[in-house]
Amino acid sequence: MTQAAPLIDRSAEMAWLRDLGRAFGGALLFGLPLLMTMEVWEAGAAMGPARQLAFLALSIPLLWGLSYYAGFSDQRGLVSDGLDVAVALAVGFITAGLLLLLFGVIQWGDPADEVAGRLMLQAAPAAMGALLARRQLAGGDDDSDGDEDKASYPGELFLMAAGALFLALNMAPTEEMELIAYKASPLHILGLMALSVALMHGIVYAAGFAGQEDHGKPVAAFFHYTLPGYAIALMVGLFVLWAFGRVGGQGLGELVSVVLVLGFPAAIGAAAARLLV
Amino acid sequence: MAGLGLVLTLAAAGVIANEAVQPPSPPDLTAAVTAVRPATRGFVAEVEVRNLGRETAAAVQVQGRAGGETASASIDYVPGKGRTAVALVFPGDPAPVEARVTGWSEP
Repeated sequence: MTQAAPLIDRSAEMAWLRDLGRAFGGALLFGLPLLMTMEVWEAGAAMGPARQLAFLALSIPLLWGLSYYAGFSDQRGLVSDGLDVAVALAVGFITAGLLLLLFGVIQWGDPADEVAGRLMLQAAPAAMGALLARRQLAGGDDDSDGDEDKASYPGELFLMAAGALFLALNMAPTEEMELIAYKASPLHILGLMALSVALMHGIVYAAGFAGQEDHGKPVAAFFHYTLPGYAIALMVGLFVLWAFGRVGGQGLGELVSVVLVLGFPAAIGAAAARLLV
Repeated sequence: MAGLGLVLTLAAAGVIANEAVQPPSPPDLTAAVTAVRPATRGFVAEVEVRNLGRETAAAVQVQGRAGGETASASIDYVPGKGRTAVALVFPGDPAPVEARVTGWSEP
């Protein structure tokens, strides 16, 4: 916008509107599974201020990072990424608010803190979708966009955390995570864990997540990317379970089992992050 | 990061492997009244249900008795070595409450 342009640059505004439309599309695509899940409505209302604030505090740096790697508009830079985050959150809140109103989940006269909790829990993943929209919905014409190709090692780990969070958020609210952990014996859980790590390594390695220098060295890639990635997936799983109030009131063995069960989708999400972002 | 990843993964595997070598430990549930407080109508007894076994109990039925009245509640899951709180509601004035677990199913 540095050139002396007419007051309203029609093509720039149209491009912006198209970006915004994609952002809403991405928010819907990523947000719908959560928006139409009963447990998420309940968790949002019941999670309490401490968890809500922790969730929000974690969401913003995460969105900022995603904006850096994938942001839905063309501009780059700290301020521009920040603006992208703000727009993505607005898109997330509007999408969540509108749909929850249409579903009758939020009604006039509901307590304000309950409504805020419900919206916030839904808006953050929807905002993730809004930020990823360009990558997901833009078709093949701008494959060269996005900065994940030049991601540093911490950047790669961050993308893994984002991927893990996305899948973990979709699975964690359901009762099945606990049910599977309780039904499975410790040997089943160990098998699931082995499968998680093996699949993750396969995806990480095949998808070329493990940078150029580690390609051709599967063992190095395993220690450099797969294991830290799996640990990140488990930590993200633990955080999401905590946010939904599923931690506490159980012994260490059962807690670790639930984390490992949720760690399975989280590990797949982490490994596939490069494909998503 | 590789070291941290290794430590966390091995720690999780260690906890589960430790569970695997323990002798079987079916659910063993106890119920204890922790508080009795008046409510707008009648009174509420808060009951803590603990599972001393390592396996999880599902659909746990809790029954309480105060004077001639009984009240019951059910809990979806009480995880192994875990605890859950339930509330039982009785009519009338606060009175001593006896609570017990009457049954459960496997998850």
